[in-house]
Amino acid sequence: MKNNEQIIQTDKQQISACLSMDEKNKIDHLLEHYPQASGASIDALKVIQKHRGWVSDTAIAALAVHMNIPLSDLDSVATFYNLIFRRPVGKVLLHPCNGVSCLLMGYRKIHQRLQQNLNISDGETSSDGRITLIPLPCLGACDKAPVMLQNEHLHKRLQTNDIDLIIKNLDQDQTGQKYGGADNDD
Amino acid sequence: MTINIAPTHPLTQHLNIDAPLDLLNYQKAGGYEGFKFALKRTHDEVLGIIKDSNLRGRGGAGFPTGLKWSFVPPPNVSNSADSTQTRYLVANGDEMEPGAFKDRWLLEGAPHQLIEGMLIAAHTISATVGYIFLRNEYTIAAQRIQTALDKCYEAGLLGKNILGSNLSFDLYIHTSAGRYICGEETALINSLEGKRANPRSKPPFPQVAGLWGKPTIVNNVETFFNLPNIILHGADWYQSLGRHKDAGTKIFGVSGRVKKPGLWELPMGTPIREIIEIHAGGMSDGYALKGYQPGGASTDFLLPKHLDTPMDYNEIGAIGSRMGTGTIIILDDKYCPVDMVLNLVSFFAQESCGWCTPCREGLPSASYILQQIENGKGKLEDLDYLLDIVEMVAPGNTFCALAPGAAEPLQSGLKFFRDDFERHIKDQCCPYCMD
Repeated sequence: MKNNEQIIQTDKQQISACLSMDEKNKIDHLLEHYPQASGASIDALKVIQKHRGWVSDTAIAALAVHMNIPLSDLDSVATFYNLIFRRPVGKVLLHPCNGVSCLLMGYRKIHQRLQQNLNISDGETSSDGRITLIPLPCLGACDKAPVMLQNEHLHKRLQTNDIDLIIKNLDQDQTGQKYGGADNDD
Repeated sequence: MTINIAPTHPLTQHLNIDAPLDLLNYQKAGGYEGFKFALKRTHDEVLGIIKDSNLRGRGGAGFPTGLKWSFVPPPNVSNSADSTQTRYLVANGDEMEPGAFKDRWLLEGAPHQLIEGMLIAAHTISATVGYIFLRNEYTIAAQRIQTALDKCYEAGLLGKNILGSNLSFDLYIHTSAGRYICGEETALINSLEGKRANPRSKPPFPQVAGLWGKPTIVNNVETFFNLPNIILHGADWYQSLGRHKDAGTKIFGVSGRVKKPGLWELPMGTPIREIIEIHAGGMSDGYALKGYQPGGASTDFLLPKHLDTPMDYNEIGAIGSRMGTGTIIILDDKYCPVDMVLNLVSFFAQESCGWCTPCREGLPSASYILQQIENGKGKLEDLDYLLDIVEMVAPGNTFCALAPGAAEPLQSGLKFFRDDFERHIKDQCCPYCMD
């Protein structure tokens, strides 16, 4: 019969196995940057998100075991930072800037056109699951307002017609996707 | 031997936004000479130069950099435990204040100048480990800095016994995951420790007990950019760059309805009028200047009558605003001031970390009332209630400067554009026809 410690150990191994070797290697490398494991929490969550597109409860549990830090600590971090996604998002993330400079230069029309074209509200994902719309305040390109971040690509000096073109190009070219991929556990 | 001629644009002399200088070319252009110069001097000598230069922190508050550094307890050679004490150095590249876009330019355009500035600071305060804290969205900057860091390690400019000296310094990038509050010094430290970015109470100040309880200096990216040339050319040269009382140059910027929005390195003390009318080319055709925020979203509005004020910390303070980040946001006559204030206050309400009550409850409440007024459902007594909130979140009533920062455009907006607020309420609609 197994004693409690053995059961916990087996549980831990099973939970930790939810992380891929690639994820673990990247996280272990980041752990070297900090004197305490907790310092790598945000980086580690971002590694998982880069691989899976979002961060599930299972992934956080696995991370807590792998990094040997309390699950509650990781959960409190994951729920605080707005760019850690706690539910699935599309592979295409559209972040129109709603900071003050972009607002003054025509954000509202851009935003309306996005919502109409995609037929979704802020924070929602298109019905085919490919595109998520999340406005972000100030992308640090105020002299090129209004701007929008498409994953890691910045669209500058946008006009409403540009939005139609950007979305049309997304339909044609599905390879320009930088998030998601790899192993989905949920 | 590189001949060092004092530059007129010390912050941007090496800046190339399309293709930043690599290590070799940065060194050929005189890069890392300031660090080598500093390395030959004692900590106190370098600290003295920085203090004498009157460099003030470029993150927004304008705290004297030399003074900040001097609070780090000196290494006590007689106490071996203390002399080996870890000290941290952090570059704040979180830049999330709406309307601020200067650090991105510097980070993408001259990553080696940031590293050189940090090396000078590391030598001065005997830092052993450094972090470059970048906001999530600055991916180009992160890639370019990582390339620069790798080259520096290869060349012995980072790591153990740098250039054969006693200085050992490791430098890492930390990319954030959102939240404006991370730009607050103590919240940033909590974030680096892998916690929620709630600000800490002071004292203890980070200079004494910061990251993981160790002495820590956090400086803005632009502050570090100033250091190499100050060391090379001296405090007197640096002071002579300013056109008014403050020393050096600064990255100034303009966004909004001007002909040429952008960023420029200009002497401290350059009048606001010159920045808007000459460098930014004046207002776009068909638009007139109604007001402006001189240094980002958290600074009080100013009016056209203030245009001849020099961009100096104390001068801008004297007319009721702050220099902040030095990036000016233009309010034109065609845009509704109530809607602009609503956007600003909503931003701060969203970004409140929720730690203290006045901020967590006060800002959403202000945002709701502003939305009502903008929608034509406001009442005159709402304006008094908004002023009550301004008082409620005043400095001293909140844990950090986030809510007081939100109150600045709110209270100055209510003061300068009161007619617009009242018209929304009397007409029960927004009189502006906006994009």
